[in-house]
Amino acid sequence: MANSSQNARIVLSPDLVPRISPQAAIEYFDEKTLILNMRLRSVAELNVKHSWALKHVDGQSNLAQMAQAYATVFAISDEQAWIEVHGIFADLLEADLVRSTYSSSKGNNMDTTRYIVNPDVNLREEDEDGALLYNPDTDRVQLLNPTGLHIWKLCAQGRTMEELIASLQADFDEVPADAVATDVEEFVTHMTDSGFLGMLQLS
Amino acid sequence: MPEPALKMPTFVDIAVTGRCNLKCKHCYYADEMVARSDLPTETWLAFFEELREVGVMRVCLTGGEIFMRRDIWELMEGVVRNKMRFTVNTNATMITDSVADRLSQYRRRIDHIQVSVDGSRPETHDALRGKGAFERTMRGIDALKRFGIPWTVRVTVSKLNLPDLEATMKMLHHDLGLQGFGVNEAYPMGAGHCNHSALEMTQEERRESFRVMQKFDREYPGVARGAMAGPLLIAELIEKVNRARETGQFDAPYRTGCFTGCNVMWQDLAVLHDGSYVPCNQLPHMVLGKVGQDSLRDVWLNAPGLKMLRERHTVSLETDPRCNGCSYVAYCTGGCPGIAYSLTGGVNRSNPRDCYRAYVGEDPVYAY
Repeated sequence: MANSSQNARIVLSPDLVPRISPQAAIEYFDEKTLILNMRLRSVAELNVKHSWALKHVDGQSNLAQMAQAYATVFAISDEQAWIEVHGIFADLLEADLVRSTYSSSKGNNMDTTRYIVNPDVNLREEDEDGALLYNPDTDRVQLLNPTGLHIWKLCAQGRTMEELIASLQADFDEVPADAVATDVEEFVTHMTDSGFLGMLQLS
Repeated sequence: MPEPALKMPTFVDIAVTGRCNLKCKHCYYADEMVARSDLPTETWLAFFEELREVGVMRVCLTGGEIFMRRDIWELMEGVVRNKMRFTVNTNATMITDSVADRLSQYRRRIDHIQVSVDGSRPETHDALRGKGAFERTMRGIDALKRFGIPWTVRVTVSKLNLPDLEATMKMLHHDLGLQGFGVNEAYPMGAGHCNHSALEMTQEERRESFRVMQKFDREYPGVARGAMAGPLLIAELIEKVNRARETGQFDAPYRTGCFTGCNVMWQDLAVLHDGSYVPCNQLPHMVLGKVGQDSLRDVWLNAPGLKMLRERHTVSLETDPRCNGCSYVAYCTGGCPGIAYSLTGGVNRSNPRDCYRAYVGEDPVYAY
């Protein structure tokens, strides 16, 4: 697992609720934990702290709550626990082993957050089948299908999750609304975690 | 008609200047420096905007010596502002602490600074690059290291520095701590063409360069594999072809039998310092258009020269009289069209330097 210091540029919110990525398969053994990244077809051995963190990913707890529990278990200060939990999840997000949603501890976040394109990212429209995003700061590439490209262009003006979902539901009215909402949320979350989209909190 | 694999190129090699503070004996660009003038700042900056609009991801800033341009920081700023990463090719003699400090501001967008080093000591390096060059280049490298800028080296091997090749690679790896670099053979172009007889290795010397490279690669696996061509790769290819002829099995990752030895025309483009678009800076004669006059989009999609190079992939090697009837055709791609043109005067000709028959001694003439 990458050293958390490599992820110094990723800043995670205490409200972030991690969940296990569909790309990840985890095997817990007595002495170690192995995690398989199915997309990269790679296996990594987790250390004790990463393993503890993954075991506590329940889709409900946010990072602040996990850091609190982490401080107790590893008998360290709250401040140190937050630094370590932040680093661990920055690693896991970077490796696409967990993905994020946001808790509603501060009200309905989906109402107030606008998703915006990262202004350093360049869009390269390849052909009618989609496009490619390039982040020159991280040298990362993201392929977009036509739907992803449509979402990207909506986010160029800044859109809330609800606006994005509503727009896509209107475009795909033959698909169940819940399925469209899930797909849009997953895509936007992935794009946010990987730095192609950013979030603007409205006052 | 073969279409480009990508709608637009992903990489553009840009010679921002034809001026240089050195006069290297093997400079492939020297001919171009004489008769062309550098584009002004504003034309380059407008061109960088055009690159962003079509989605080019990275550029190589090369020359000439790029630090001869007083506006080089303005140009780098233009590359960064237009959402691209970049590499730099330099002799490093002008990289002082203040230059390295300034470069470090762009660290996040720099893939690497590639420095030319042709010897382990002044006697070898300076014989090719001029008196005092070695010391100044080493000072430049030292500055790059101290300011934490990613750097690498390209060694250009020829008859003049072959005896020092092993020591040069060891110096780079051991003394300078470099974990990866590339080694190419000097191109017979530009000054390299004028000094051809002094630089060109004999077949035995070329085989010696293979032995040196392969020995180094066994001792330090992967360290000297930074080049897309060069003696190490050719040596391995020849071994592979020899095995194939014995076993009948050839595990080629590419198509053979036609002129498929170069893929530059599918994803890359180059621009000379006067704004001439060319397929590659090894094909400077094949001008496809001009920056400021012709759009990159139009050049990429419609330039006859690029179409011809793309079609070249379907032309049988046996159309070259030199290859007609050659028993190696089934394993061969014809090599670099740039060197082929330089040595034979034709693009749809195979590169004599990549000729298996010559390497294995079946072609004693090795004529071109």
